[in-house]
Amino acid sequence: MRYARLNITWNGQNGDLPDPVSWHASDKEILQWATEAVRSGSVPGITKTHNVQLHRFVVDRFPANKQVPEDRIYVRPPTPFGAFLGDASRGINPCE
Amino acid sequence: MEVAEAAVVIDHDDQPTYWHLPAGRTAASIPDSRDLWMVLWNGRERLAGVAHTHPAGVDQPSSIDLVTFRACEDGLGRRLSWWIVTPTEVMLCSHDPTDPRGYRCHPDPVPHAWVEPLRRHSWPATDSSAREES
Ligand SMILES: [Zn+2]
Repeated sequence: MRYARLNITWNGQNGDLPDPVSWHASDKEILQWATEAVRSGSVPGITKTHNVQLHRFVVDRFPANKQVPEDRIYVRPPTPFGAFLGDASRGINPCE
Repeated sequence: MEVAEAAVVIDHDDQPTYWHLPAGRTAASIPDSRDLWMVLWNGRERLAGVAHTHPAGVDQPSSIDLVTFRACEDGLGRRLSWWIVTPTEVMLCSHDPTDPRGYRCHPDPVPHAWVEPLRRHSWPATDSSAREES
């Protein structure tokens, strides 16, 4: 089983989940775990928040390398822009 | 040059701090970018907001824009200014819980120095603006 350290950014705060998560988990699973972790206050550095909304956030995955010797997964806000009202069909929003 | 959406990060002094012109941007979209997020996060203490262009002239945010506005503010833990620059207008959008979309946009009367450079990154200069520069 391959595991990764999960980092979450929320409400101006940033922290790592104490327990590693499966590298092969889906984005949806990662976002669900991140949401539950922030809701339960189990992420050091992030204040417990009941109404956390991470389902539109993005999951970035970085394999271990010489500088960072463990697999890392980051949950962060998305940053795409699109000009057409109501158009989410062009594959530019990874959260849709 | 190809017409393509462009974006710029603006600080509290109304200065552009990062021109966001990634590969893959089109006349109707700018792709998701971890680089842009890291610029916002690392510069969050002096961050005022982000401007992006709508070359086709639509002066309101798209549904994708609205998701980005909301998610970035959620991530940063504070509200930002979101400008939409068209060929003829500069709209300033900000959080407004009374708007069904969560954001309300008004024409911005402030003459920001970064508006014309941002337009130049998005579509060719018109004849009149080219003359002004020469
Ligand atoms: Zn837009």
